Amino acid sequence: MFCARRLLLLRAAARPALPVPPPRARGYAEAAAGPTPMAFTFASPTQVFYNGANVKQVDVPTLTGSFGILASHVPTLQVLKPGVVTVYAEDGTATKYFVSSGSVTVHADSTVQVLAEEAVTMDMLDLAVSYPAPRGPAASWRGFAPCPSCVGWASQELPGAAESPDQGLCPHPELLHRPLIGIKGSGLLLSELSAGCGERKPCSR
Amino acid sequence: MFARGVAVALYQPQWGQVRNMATLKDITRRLKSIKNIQKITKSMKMVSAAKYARAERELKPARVYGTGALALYEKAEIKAPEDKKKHLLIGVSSDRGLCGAIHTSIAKTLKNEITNLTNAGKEVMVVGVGDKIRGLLQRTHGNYFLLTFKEVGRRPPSFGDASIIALELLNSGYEFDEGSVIYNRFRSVISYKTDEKPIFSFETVAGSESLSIYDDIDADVLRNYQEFTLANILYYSLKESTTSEQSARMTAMDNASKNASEMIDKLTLTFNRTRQAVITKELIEIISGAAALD
Repeated sequence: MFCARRLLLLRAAARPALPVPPPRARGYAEAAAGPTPMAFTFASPTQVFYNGANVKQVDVPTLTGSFGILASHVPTLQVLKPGVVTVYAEDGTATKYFVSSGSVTVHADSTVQVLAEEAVTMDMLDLAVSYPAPRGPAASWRGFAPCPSCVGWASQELPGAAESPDQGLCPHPELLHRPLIGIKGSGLLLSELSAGCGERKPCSR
Repeated sequence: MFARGVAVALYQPQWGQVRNMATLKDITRRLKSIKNIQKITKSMKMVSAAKYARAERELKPARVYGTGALALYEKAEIKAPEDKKKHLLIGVSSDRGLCGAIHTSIAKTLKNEITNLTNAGKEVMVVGVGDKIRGLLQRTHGNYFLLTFKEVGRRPPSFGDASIIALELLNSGYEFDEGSVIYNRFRSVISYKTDEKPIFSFETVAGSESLSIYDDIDADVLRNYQEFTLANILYYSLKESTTSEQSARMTAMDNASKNASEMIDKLTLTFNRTRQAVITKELIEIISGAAALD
């Protein structure tokens, strides 16, 4: 009822005067469209971990240093070095993977490909456990056992090899250690994969 | 019919094949050998079905890996400049036959590509992965061969195999500018398609303008990246190729077993007819002999 009367009044008064626009509150422009979500692909030749997934951030260890990749990262090509790749999902949970080597590609449309030659989740790694059939010449393995202080193998023949040393100090700096990490169940030794390791060299700790 | 005249009205070849009706022993021998062949082709089909199941399972992650590796070439649209002369063709196949048209399709594509490229004035070299490629192309295009790889197809391909191929390629000393990998892409159990994927040399990629959008790249990193991508592409093509080969072998052996069963059925009927004919002949002889005595 009220509206109908108002309309009649408006129609009567429409022609002579321009209608006054209703007062409008001033506001900021709308925010620009959000950045394109990252399409993240992380795979090894035998296993796919993420395929075009939407994740928040990825930390990668590269030859030129570690850096974190978020959506809309500047495009780049990098080569991985042995280390840990951390993937932060949308809800913030972080998952770590050990990679031996590989490549990282970030494209202009926010697609990221991390291709690793060998990649395993951290629970697949077996530190300092003796293997039933180690690879390599058998003579070099005989008499070696995990050194309790560092991730290396110390000769059992030298005295004190089984004693637990001081925290953080390898008691046998004069011994040749072979730094290596094993992958459970596969008999694979990662030191043979990453360049340079696997040679007998003094323990660096 | 009689237009030629009387001289050639009657023409009977003197040297034509005159076949006697096969004896029972001939048919038995043939039947036994075809039954053996059918057993062999059936078992080959089972073996390649098992290998195919495994290859298809391993192809799934390899496909994601391969498309990831090729993404750079697609997104950056890297193209070799037209004046670059040196081309490389890698044909991916295997050592073993009895798998349908797998090897011949690769060889045919290679032959066409060689012809096209030499007509365009480019220098071409061919790398054959698998002994069959060498066997098919040796006679006619033998001087184009750079490397051949044997012992392919016996075991499922691993990334180590692909890196051996990539290493030999890079150490061969042939400085190619661009190239392509020709392989059989697996589509389904009954079909595959010969496909081609591009590869580029380090200089081509470094010199490409579209690479300038990629930040913070130095020559060392790019070289490592290129070598790794080459190994990745080879790994992907090996995996696809193996799966296509096993599915084609399964189909071929299945067809062979079916053909053998058909031949066995036909021969069995012929055998029974011949057996009855022999019995009838003996009866006739006995009866006519007995009748002659009367």
